[in-house]
Amino acid sequence: MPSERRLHPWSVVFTLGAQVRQLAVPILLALFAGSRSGNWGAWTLVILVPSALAAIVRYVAFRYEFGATELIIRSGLIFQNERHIPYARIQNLDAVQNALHRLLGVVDVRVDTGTAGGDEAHLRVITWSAYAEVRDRVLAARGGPEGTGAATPLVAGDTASVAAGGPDAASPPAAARADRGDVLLALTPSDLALHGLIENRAMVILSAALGGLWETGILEQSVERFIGGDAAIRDAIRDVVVGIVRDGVVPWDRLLLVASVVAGVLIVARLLSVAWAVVRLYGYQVRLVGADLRTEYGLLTRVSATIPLHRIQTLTVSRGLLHHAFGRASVRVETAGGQTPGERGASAREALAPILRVNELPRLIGRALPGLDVAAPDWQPPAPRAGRRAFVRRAVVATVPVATGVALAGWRAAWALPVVLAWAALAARVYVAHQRWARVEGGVLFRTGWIWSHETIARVTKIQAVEMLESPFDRRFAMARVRVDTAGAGQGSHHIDIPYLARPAAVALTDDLAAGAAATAFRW
Amino acid sequence: MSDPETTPPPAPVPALAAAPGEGPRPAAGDPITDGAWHRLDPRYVDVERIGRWIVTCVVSFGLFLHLLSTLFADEGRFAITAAADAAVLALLAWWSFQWPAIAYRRASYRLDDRGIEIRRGVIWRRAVVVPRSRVQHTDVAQGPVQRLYGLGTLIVHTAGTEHAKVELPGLSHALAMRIRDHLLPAGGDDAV
Repeated sequence: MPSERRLHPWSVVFTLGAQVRQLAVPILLALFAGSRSGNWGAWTLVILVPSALAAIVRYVAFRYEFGATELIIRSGLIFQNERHIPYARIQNLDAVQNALHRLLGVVDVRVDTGTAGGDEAHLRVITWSAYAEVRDRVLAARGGPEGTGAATPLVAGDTASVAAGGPDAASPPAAARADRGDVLLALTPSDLALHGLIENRAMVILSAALGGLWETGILEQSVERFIGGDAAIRDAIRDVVVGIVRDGVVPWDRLLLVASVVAGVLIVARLLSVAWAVVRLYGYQVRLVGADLRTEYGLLTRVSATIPLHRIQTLTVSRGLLHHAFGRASVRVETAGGQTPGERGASAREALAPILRVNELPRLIGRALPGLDVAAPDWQPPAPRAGRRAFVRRAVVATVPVATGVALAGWRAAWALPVVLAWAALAARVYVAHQRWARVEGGVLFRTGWIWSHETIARVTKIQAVEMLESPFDRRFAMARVRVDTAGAGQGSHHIDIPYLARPAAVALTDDLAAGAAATAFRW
Repeated sequence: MSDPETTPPPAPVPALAAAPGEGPRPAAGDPITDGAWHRLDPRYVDVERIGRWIVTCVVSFGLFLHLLSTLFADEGRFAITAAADAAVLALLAWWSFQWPAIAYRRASYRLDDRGIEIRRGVIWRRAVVVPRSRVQHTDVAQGPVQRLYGLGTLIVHTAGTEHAKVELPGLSHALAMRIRDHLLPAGGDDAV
């Protein structure tokens, strides 16, 4: 039996495509610069030919093999590399199929073992049946009931071709049962439209695009061409302000025009976001198959991600203003897998449920974190004087811009001080009123925020280290902060990081969590 | 306040017993995992001071050049510059000589069967607990000055993010090695 396997020949095309995408900026610059000197073709060739050669070499040299307990990957023609990945260490198996992949019947597979550097092995690209084989082999080697399940087809109706693919496939009924699993979440297009409306991703892209245009000076040029330069805008604004302040004449027509343009842009951005969310996440489904969560979505680019349940480190429920209005929430999980921001695979792993009804939350959390009873936790408030500290902190921060204003514009600007202090008082009150933590059997919960709220759940078995911090202010108020460190904790995301605890409570919590973690074994 | 740099370096293992313990007495058996708070090796203060004095020397050389340049460029500001430089130097000297002793008094660690707890920090104080079951691997590192004094830094690696690497400097090298051996992932070496 030939044990070594190769990638699909189309790999060359996709590798080249990925390289070109990475080199897009230099290529565009070459085109931009070359369009003046006239030899842009030569510059593009200089970039493309080595890439094409590298892609061919990669395809020719790349081999993978299923060992008894590990996946063996050989790559490199001159500098040869052999990588052994134990099946038991494989965190996530992600498959991505964009429109071109689907046309050619191939799939882009990432094998991730949880090292910080991202995916350990990138099978770009293999045939659909080869992917089924990889998945079967990995799952079978890991054991458990899910081990016998055949790979799930990314495209519905493809089952027949896949079922024969896995050499370890169990008898058809068992395979079919394991295959479907238990649907935890299925989002309809209207759910996704709502998600797009809330997420408003187009606005982010629009802002980024405007920023880019501004940086490159293109925006300035076009403003100059159509309106007549910055000075014209400044004059127009000054005319309006002077008109209102001195003459009491409000130019309603002009204001209305500006307002309608702004509103138009905002509405178009929302509509684009809705369309983008529906296309990107079309048919979003989370299923529990054995001990794995399987996420699948996408209209053009079909993404399939597998998250083994025991890889989930923390789970965060977030809600915003519109979420409250529509009774929805979003759920993210952090896995120990490599967090490579900006990569599709990573974002697919992070969002477990982009949007779901609040009443569906308990079931999803219950399944994603089995054995953890978070239905009615005993929420604990921060220390009694936490509000005062939260206020002082905000007041100090808010006073800085006011002081700057006073320094620049004189004492006239001091009227802003009562306003920012009032805001600080309100914000501190709201913050402390909604900051809660809870210790449940086998886990710890932390919740912050009122309208924009986050609630994070961490299992004790996933705690790596517990830290208790005391700032000079903490010591003055006999308080402390407790932080829990887990694997794969992303930068800037919500974590168990509880400030303003009464010191005895903080000591007790630290000891409790550390003892709990010490009593359990960490399994990657 | 005690002056640690004049105390003779204690022998590696008795240092533990001699250290001021606030916790229970050492349990029978392994004396490392007594669950009591231990101070770092007093020689650590000297090691820290040497490192800081080197920094101070480099910086004061820069200050000296700066002073010379103002002497030749603008005589009117010489006195002010000299005073400012002297103040910086005094601060650096304090930071080099006094701070390690203060930091030493605020640093302690505790080992028991469950894991290791490290307390450090003078102004911002932090206590980090790493359960033994979460230790991925451990290192003992030794810089040139530490080697001169027979000290070492214990580095505990976890699978965490922020605390992927927890360091405990200022242990005698032999003790650091013993703690390292104790913290190594239990592969059936003992049934604790």
